[in-house]
Amino acid sequence: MPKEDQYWVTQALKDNPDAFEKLVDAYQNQVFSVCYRMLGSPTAAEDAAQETFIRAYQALASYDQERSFGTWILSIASNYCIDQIRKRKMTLLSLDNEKYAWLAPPAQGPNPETYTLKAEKMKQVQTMLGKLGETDRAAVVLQYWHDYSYQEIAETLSLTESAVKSRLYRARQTMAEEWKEIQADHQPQPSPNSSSERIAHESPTV
Amino acid sequence: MNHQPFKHWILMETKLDEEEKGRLRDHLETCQECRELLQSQREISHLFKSSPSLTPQPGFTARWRTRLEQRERMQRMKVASITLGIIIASLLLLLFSVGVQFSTIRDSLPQVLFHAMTNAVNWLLFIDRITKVLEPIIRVGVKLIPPIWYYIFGISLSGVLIAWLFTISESMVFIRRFTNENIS
Repeated sequence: MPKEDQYWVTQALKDNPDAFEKLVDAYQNQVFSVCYRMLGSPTAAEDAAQETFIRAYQALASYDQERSFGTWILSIASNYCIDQIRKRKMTLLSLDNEKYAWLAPPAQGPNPETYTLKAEKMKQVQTMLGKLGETDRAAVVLQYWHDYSYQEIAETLSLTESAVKSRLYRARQTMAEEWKEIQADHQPQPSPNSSSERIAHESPTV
Repeated sequence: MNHQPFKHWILMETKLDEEEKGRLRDHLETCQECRELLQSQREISHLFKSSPSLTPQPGFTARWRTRLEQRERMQRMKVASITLGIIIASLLLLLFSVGVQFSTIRDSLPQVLFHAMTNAVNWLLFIDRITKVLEPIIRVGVKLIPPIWYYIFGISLSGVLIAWLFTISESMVFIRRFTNENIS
């Protein structure tokens, strides 16, 4: 664990929320990212991230300081999100909603095409993640976005390393099938009536 | 066509040696299914890595602090409500039993007071009789008990007293904080 984290954890253990705020500052993006990828909705992600830090603060006395704080906090976040999915059987929400415009990726410029492209990309990602079971989804999120090793994923999700491998194997298989469908949907389909329609448009009106 | 172990290698992103790489290349030349699987894995990986990262709305930490304070206040209120509930229930129970006792008395007030005084005197006489019976036993017991036990008893009693006073002071601090918070 980084020395800085260790220092703030020690201070926070003295019942000092100000010290814990430093840890919230440092890990909020990682936690929010996991929650968003898991739940698919920015409001649910904000709520889950807040709840994660509250749970971590209240359970800080049980935190093993030999362990990385990052792994510990992401483990709380993942497990909380898994529980939420199980409880609510959440459906993924679309990102096109203007209400969540603040959550959209930082724009490279005032280019609506870039925004649409990114929003489309995020939608594809969430669609694929939505096809996975909650634990498989957590494993995929930790591997692809946080570069966690099999061992770290196993530690975070309280699984064995072989269980993580088989879950990721299954998840990649599911995602490959979904990807095929997405690709097929994006390919322009020739309409059987297109030639006759064109002729009709081009032909002079009688 | 047999896709193993190639499918497994692709889906597990296995690190292959030169010989295995050659075998995979040969297989991919003839197997469209595995070729498509490998391509999709690469595209998905690229899509994931290139998808924009999200950050929470500014002021996340301040919102967390507010939420934490609200949560802690709610937890304190819950404890206080439970304590208050128990006290009220006990009082109601006490009032109810006293009420039941009074409802059974049909005499006038002087008669009730007379009965109460008679009962009190009877209790005092009973305690006096018990003391008279126990007195010789205590006298003998005092002589038999070694002096060290008196010290032990005294220290234990002081410990209990200190613990009791500490609990009361902690409760007073909690009540004062709770009252201040609710007033503010």
